[in-house]
Amino acid sequence: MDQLIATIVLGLFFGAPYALLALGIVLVYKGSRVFNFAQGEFGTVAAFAAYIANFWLPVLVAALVGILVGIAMGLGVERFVARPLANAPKVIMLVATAAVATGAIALQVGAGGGPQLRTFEPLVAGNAFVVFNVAIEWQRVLVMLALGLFALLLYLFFSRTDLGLAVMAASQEPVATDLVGIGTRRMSSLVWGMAGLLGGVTGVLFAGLQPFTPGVVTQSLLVFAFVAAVVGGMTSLPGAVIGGVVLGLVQSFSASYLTRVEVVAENLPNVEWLAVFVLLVAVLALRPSGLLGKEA
Amino acid sequence: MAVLDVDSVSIRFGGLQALSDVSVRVQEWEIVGLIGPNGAGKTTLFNCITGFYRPNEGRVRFLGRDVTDVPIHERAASGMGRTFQQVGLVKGATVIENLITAQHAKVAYDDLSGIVGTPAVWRHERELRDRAMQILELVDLADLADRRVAGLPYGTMKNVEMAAVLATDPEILMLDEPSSGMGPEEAHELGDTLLRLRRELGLTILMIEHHVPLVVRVCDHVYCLNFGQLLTEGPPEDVRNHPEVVTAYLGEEAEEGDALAPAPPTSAPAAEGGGGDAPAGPGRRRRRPLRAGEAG
Amino acid sequence: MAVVEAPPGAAGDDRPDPERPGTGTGAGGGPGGGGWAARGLAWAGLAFVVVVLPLLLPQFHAFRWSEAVILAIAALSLNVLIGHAGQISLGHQGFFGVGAFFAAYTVTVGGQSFWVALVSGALTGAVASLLMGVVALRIKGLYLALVTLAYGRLAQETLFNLPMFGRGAGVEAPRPDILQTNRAFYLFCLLMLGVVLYLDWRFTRSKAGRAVSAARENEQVASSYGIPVARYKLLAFVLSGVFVGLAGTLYAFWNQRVASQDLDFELALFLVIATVVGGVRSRIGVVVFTTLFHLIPDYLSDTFGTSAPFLSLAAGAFLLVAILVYAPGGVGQIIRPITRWMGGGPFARGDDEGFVEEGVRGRP
Repeated sequence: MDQLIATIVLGLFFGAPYALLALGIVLVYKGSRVFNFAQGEFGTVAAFAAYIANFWLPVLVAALVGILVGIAMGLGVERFVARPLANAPKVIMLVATAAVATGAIALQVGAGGGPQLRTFEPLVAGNAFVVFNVAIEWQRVLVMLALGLFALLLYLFFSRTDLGLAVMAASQEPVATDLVGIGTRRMSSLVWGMAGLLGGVTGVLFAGLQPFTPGVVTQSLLVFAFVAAVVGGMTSLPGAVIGGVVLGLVQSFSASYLTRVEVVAENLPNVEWLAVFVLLVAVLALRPSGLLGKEA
Repeated sequence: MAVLDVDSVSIRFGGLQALSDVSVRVQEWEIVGLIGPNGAGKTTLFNCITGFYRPNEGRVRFLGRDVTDVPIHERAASGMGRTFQQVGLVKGATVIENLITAQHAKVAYDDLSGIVGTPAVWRHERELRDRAMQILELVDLADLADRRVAGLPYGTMKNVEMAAVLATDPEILMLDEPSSGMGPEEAHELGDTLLRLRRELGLTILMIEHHVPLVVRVCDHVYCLNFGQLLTEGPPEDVRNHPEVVTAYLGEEAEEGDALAPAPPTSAPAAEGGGGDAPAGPGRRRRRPLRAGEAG
Repeated sequence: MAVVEAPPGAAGDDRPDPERPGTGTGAGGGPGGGGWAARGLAWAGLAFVVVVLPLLLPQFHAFRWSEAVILAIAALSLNVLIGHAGQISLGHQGFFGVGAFFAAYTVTVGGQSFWVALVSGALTGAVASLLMGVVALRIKGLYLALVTLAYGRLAQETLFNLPMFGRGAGVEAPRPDILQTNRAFYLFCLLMLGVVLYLDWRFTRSKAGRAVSAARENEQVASSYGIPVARYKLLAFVLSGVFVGLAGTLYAFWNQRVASQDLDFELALFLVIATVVGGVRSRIGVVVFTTLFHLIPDYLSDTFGTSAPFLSLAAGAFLLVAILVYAPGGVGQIIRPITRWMGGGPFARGDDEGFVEEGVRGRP
């Protein structure tokens, strides 16, 4: 029982960064029907910027700088990649964003001083609480709070503001974009900028959780975040949050229960990847619209 | 034996009854016309015959064989050639490449020898090309052989499409509005071509056509669909003058003669509304036993 | 352009094509005697650089070039999927690794010869790829890309760390005596590249390639041409799997061992970039770009230090974006006049290429 509760708590906290990144992925998909493989690098680049800024600036200010850089990168990708390729096949756009990610990682290694580990101190140090021998750091609580905050803000934005409603309408009916009076370009910038913000927040917080390397968010979170987005229905913001939590739970359960089965522990290293792969294929084959189906 | 025997086919899409109890029979060497206002279900019937749709009820028999559950490509390979309303060609390919690709089912070597490149393959490839050229010469398109389809005018594409279907070596040629995009003269030439194809290649033809003079000139037998039901059938002149056809489809000015040529039926059925539907509904006639002795 | 009379597919292919009449010397615009001499010289120069030069230079050059050739084979495999079949794989390191590990396993644990391993590696790649093909019949487009991405990570994290593959320690793959030296191994890789190029070329010029390409462009039309679309999609996956399995096998023996950390997501991205920038459906473009994209950073790092490869990778990535935006035909399109000329055609771009090759206009 203790084990069960600990696994669930751990899963929830594992899932928060996936959900945060998945929100950015879903936003971009809603706005421009693009699978944005650079979403993770919005995070790592922000983390690097914060890390460098931290040489001179206090950690909170440095984190802010990092997030601003994340936003700038989101806007830059919109301007120089997404916009010129707006009419290209979606697979081309996917390859282009993947290339941006590759380029960003290579640049971090090549210009950022090599592939070694770096540490960016957590915004709040220490453990928040301990459940059944599992310690939860303040930084993880912070990720969870950030997730809650941004989920709430996005909800308010899309349900209460004219601009948000317009973006929502446009995502459901692309032709409507111009009808509601906000330009396609402005909307596209807005969406990518918000994705940059979400990626930046994820990266800066995630970098405080453990020592990080170039491309860390892409390597550690991106695939899980994508699967979370798909599980949630790809166009649903609440779906992304739920999907992230589901992924966190799948990961914590397969890590703490599947590995207790001796055959699995003996023969299948990193079994959570198998669980995630099976989940992804099952969702796509059986329920392609995800848990929360259509636009929300 | 009928080449094509459509036996009481019905199909629903959600709540829409697209075809109900439609029977069509095409004899060898016949040219049969299929007319009716837009939305009457003509293309849907084509899709049921060729396998793109699976009818809810009824059977499709081709050359005496029940093909209702046979996949599209097998029906095509067994001699069902069809064109599409929106030009069914591989548009990135050249004209001759389309004709060579269309001979797929007739290619004498298997995939593996093709990839390995046995000497026989080279000989067969030359034969495929020669046959494609012969067909292009037959329909006067030889000078366009190496042109990319995407750049050709619409009317030319329609002709190329017919040539490509001929390359599949069909028993029956099913044409979906072959004269669309053509002027009266071109349409007249098309009629010549169709008659010549029947004479020279012994083809059987079923065609959806709006251009009444063409239908009257080349067809031996005409079926008229309206709201997914068979309105009437018979020799072209009879069907054309049939009062229900006139009300449902052609409009009053039909009796003027050839002037009704392309007959865009948008206004006619809409204006008639329920009136056009009423006689067709409850009092729907049974198939007239025009050709006795072929019930089977 | 000036050369509209050239038959389709004449461009970019550096082999004589007997099934294609009318491109020989007799045809209008065919090269005269001087033209052939110049071409002969160009071919000899190319042969010297590719075949002879690595044998004259110190062994480690051949070692380095071998890897470039192996990656070119892997990129050609991806070209079958992206270019011919219009499917995308972001997990190609997974298929590459399956071939590599199984080939190494065949030799080290199974005690079989290198030649058996060559076949088993290629076949394992084909089987893994076929399984993905079955998934691709149901899951399409961007979602398939995601599935392949997850598969690549699954392979890297779990499959390649299985107990049979040394739990992450990797598997040894000793070369056979005859290919012991790096120079001999390089020549063997070159030979395999030649075989793959030949098979891909024959594929595109026979019914299977046409069927796959027709299905890529329009499934409805393809099936009404009598083509069983699903079957040919699977065939494309199998062919791609054979190529990438072969590449993986060569990689294992090139390095004399294979371990999971060498088969990361960056390899998959390298291959995607190499294929798309090289120019989908352009064999020559893919091979030229992949080898250069791999070799230039290596040689740069000799001179400029270890960060050079990463900087050039970054440059390559941004080059990819530029190519996607401005020259969707990739390097293959850019060097078209050269390949055309060396194939006996005029030095010109030509705009009449076929749909199974050099699809300049057709983006995947």
